Amino acid sequence: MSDQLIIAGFHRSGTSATARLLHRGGLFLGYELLEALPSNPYGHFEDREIVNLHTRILSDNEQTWAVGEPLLPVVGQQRWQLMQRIIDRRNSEHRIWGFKDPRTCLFMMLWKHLLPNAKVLIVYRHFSGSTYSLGQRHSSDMFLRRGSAQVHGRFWEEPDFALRMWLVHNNALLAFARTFPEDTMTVSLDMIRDGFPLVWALNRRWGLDLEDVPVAEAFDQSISVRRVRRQPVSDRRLIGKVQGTWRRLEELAGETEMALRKETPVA
Amino acid sequence: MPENDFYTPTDMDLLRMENELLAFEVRFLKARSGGPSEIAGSPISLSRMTHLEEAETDLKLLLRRIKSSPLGPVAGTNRNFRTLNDRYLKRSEEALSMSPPQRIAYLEGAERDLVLLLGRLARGPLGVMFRRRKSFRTLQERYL
Repeated sequence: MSDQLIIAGFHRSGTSATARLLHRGGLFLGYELLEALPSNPYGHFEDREIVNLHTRILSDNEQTWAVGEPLLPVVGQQRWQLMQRIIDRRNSEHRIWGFKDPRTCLFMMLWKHLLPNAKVLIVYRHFSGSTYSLGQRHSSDMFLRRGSAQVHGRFWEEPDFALRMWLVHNNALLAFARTFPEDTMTVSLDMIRDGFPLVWALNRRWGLDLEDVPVAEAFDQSISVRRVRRQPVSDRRLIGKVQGTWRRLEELAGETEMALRKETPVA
Repeated sequence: MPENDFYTPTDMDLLRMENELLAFEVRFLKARSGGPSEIAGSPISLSRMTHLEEAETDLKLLLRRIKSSPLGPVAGTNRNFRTLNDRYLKRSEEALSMSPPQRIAYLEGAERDLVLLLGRLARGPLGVMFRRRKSFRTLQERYL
């Protein structure tokens, strides 16, 4: 019987560093992990097979990874079969496994349908940090002529595009957390960076038996710099929506911290 | 879709986005030319700054763990522990609004305090127990 732990969070929210931490603690994250890039020098810790699957589902729905509007994906039989094959192989070969891919935010309900016992770690970051970091990554890629100029260009052609993406992904996570509160743990990037004993908390809550690893081994402070800027926004109607989503994420993280205070970790 | 879900980007919006992209370009070109980064004026290198921030994070983690462990009440009676607790856990937010020189001094202090704390824990009566833990040994290797 395998345990599954899915790491879900918007792009540039610290999910790679979190995955790195859990990978070091013994969580199997995939057979072929994506290589490191300048924007993620320690690697993405994303399994190529899972990323390809998500990309195909997005493509079936005429989308790329850059989803800025709520998405209710239509999933064909072939894709369901591939998901099941991915699950069967890992279940048969690993006691505890999981995966991390920011696109997962949009497909949580699909995975939960096939993995009813799966646990989900939600990692979030302040919208100004995530959107700035996305801008930085895509501007660099644009100047270096790396990747699709059309994709990079959207961030400076469609006002608030990154902010809408943040909203869509995090709202999808909140919907999941509301539906499956017992199978969800929510933490912010700041919490982990400030020393929240993530592995310990996961082990205590779900009995995962992961090995504890110092946070600094996985979190390079120079890469996930703490920086809260004032968020530029063109469509002011987004403000209330973003603030509401942020507040709900903070409430969930507060519940995680509260639950931890009731426990007693051993030094 | 209700009417109020639509809006037309103005010239101001386009100007703002262009300005943002230009700011990224300046940053990108500075980085490529080896010019000053965001910690311009800082007397220490970026890698040293990174190391110091890691030390601060590790110190906070260690203090939190001690505080919430069965040793917590005993540790709380120690004045040095209370000082560290006060400086790095209770008032940690203050460090974020410090000027660059103040912040460097604060982080260097955190590194020194971490080294001292690790040394004391390792030499103390529970040193054997601490050294059995991999995370503690990793911290020792990194800072001692």
